[in-house]
Amino acid sequence: MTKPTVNIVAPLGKTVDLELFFSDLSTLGQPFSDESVNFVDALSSALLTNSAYKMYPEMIALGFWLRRANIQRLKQQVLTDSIIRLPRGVVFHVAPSNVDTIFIYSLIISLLMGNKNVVRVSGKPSLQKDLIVQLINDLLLSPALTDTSANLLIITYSHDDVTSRYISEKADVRMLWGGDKTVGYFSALPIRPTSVDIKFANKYSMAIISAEHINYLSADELYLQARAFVNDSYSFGQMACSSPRAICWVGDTSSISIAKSKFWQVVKEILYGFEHELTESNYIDKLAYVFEHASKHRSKLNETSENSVLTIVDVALSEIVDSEFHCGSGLFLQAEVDKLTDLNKHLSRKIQTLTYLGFTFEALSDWIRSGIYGVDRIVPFGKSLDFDYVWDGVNLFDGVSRIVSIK
Amino acid sequence: MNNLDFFYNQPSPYSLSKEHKREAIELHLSRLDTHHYQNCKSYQNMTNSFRHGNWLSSNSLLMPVRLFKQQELKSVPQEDVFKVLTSSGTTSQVVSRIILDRGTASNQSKVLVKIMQHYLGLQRLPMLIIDHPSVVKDRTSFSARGAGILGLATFGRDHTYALDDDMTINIERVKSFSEKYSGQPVFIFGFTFMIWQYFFQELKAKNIHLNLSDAVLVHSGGWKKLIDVAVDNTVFKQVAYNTCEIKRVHNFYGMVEQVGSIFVECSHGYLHAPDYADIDIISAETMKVLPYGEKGLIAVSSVLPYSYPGHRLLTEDLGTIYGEDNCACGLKGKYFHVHGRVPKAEVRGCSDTHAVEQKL
Amino acid sequence: MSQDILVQCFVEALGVQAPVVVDSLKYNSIAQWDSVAHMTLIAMLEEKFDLMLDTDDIIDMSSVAKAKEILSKYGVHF
Repeated sequence: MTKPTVNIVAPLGKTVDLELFFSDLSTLGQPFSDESVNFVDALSSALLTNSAYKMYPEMIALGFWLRRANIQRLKQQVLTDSIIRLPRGVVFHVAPSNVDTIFIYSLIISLLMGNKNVVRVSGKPSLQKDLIVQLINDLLLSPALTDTSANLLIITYSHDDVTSRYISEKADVRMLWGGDKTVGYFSALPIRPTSVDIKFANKYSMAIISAEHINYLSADELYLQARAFVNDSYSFGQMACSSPRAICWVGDTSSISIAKSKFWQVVKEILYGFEHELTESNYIDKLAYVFEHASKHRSKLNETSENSVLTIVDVALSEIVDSEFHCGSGLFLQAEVDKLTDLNKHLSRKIQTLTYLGFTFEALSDWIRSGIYGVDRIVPFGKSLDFDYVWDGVNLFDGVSRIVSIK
Repeated sequence: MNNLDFFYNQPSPYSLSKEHKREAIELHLSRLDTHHYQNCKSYQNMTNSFRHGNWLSSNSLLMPVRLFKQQELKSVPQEDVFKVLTSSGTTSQVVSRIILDRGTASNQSKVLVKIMQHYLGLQRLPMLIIDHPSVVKDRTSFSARGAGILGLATFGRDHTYALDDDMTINIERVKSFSEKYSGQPVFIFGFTFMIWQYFFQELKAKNIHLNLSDAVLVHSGGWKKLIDVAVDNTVFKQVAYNTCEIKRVHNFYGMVEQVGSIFVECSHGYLHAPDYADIDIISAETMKVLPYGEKGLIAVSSVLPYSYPGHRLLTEDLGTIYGEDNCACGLKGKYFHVHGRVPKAEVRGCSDTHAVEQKL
Repeated sequence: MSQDILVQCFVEALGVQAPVVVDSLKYNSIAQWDSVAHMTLIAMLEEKFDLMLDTDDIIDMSSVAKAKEILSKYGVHF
């Protein structure tokens, strides 16, 4: 077998014998060890207090999630007296090249469980990825973090199957971010019979809105909800798998018609002052999408769309899910239903997040049990991008640990 | 039928002043709107969607040029289809497919003749082609490059290819051409990058000087590769003069979706809209027409496309219009510059092609 | 004492001067107190007062006065 060659980006300046990294399991830690918690805490403080990161909301969100209070809460939820939970071994994280911070969440969860970790990041330059890697490198210089340093390897490698195959054969868990293509590619590379894959496929997310509720909101309340919706959809150029790409309006036709015009008007006003990252090339992609869609499905550009920033297309309910071609960048397919259950048959396994407005917890939990094949999470407006350790229906702590029973 | 007699009867392809042109071209384009609306289902659906929205002040659909890569758009019955033009885009492997009937194909040639004659005269001139002969050998499947050369070869005689099949310059042939026609007008044609790379650069490297002082050099094909090596139109013309004494150089802007009504560079270095075509600059963000002097997306219209709905197109190129009817060269029509393609956006999202790219 | 710590958290998290931090100061009423700074603020309050806020309280903390009210629930006295 050809020897794999990797470029180590963290810990910086370290030479690692890959063979040894995989075979030496003496550094596997205890779940939520003091050292790992301290490391996470230091990372969080650095992200939250250094003004250099203020301009990157997703970095602040990461720092917020990693804050000590939240980690303590996770510890309480994950470590219970009744079960014995131990690290699985070596976890191979394949990071997506485009959402720059998500791999950190899965890495931290795995580190907290005491695993050793190899993270493959994309070689493509990315400001946020580079900042976070640099920050990790700085922290790892501390002599109090020698175990963490020994359990962490962030690498890049180029254009060959050899390294992917090598690491796949040795890892105990593969955490495959990056969607269908990455999952497909790695699925072809064998893992040990005792190893597991955690796969994140391409997903599609939507918003569900109660028209009656919108019509009942005060102007201030509507503004806050619309603002939350804009954050949900326009961060990452609407390309995060949890960003809503379609809206299903629920109610009778006349309330929906009033609600739509009220809602989109406010969204439009917010967008005038919103710093989105859309470029000419995104607008052209959207334009081509809108007309291609119209020519095939007779969908209609909504009259609210008066520029390229907010593009709303009225589609038939059966067209509301388009996980294949939807190009993001502020494009919303919208359709109407009388009641939530009318939507059921369209909610396939491809559906990840539903952001909702105007439904009670009880209504939603009854509905989701009414024979729906897909949907991983249902969150209120403004929460679509919040990370949770249960992701795509999988508890990541469970994924990277083993539970031992003693009877 | 697409009757263009009004345009053909003008004394030159740059005759109409703006008021006349607006009236004539809009009348013609709106007839084409109706024709395509009635005869192309896809176009009808797109127009309905577009009119429902609130984009642009016009009621007429500006169709993104990419649609020709995504589907076959046709406004004539299948039995009238005479030829299908294809071109590979530079950004993807997907090709545009342009459906032509006899009428549209014949109008394309006629208009190209009218426009080129304006620069080359009525005589067919000895023609030096800066390419290699096999690019047009296989008539059943030649490239966009081959099609372009064949289209313009009509305007020349004694066609001489400057390059051999391995893209090296054939000095013997070039020299004998320039000696044979010394002191006579000749026509030189090629693609911008090829002329620069395989002709000018080679002549310079070999220290060969040609006297083609009576030549008209026409070139097209985009500046992207040249901009990468910091060569702009001014440098290009300077080198044409220094190596071959060529004084008349005309770049042109055209696309497979609107063959015929091309935009040729005038004696003052601006591309000009002929009577058969028009150009607007659109802001991609606001979808509004931008005033002269501002940079934005180029929208082109042409009175030629009848067999396919390509008469009003939104391109993916950036340009600036400087004025209309008042260019120092004296020609009527809007005059402008093209700045190249819209830069590709960085792909974001949870999914990516990382792993797959590695395989390629 | 608690008041000083509270003001200090606001000053550091939002990057404002101490006199700005009055009971009537509202979330989103100044550019510095946006959703991003709010996260830093919450993390800082939790750390300095050594407590763990519920999600609902994080969302409800819409003014300085409200912050005090919420912190009181967790046993911080002003």
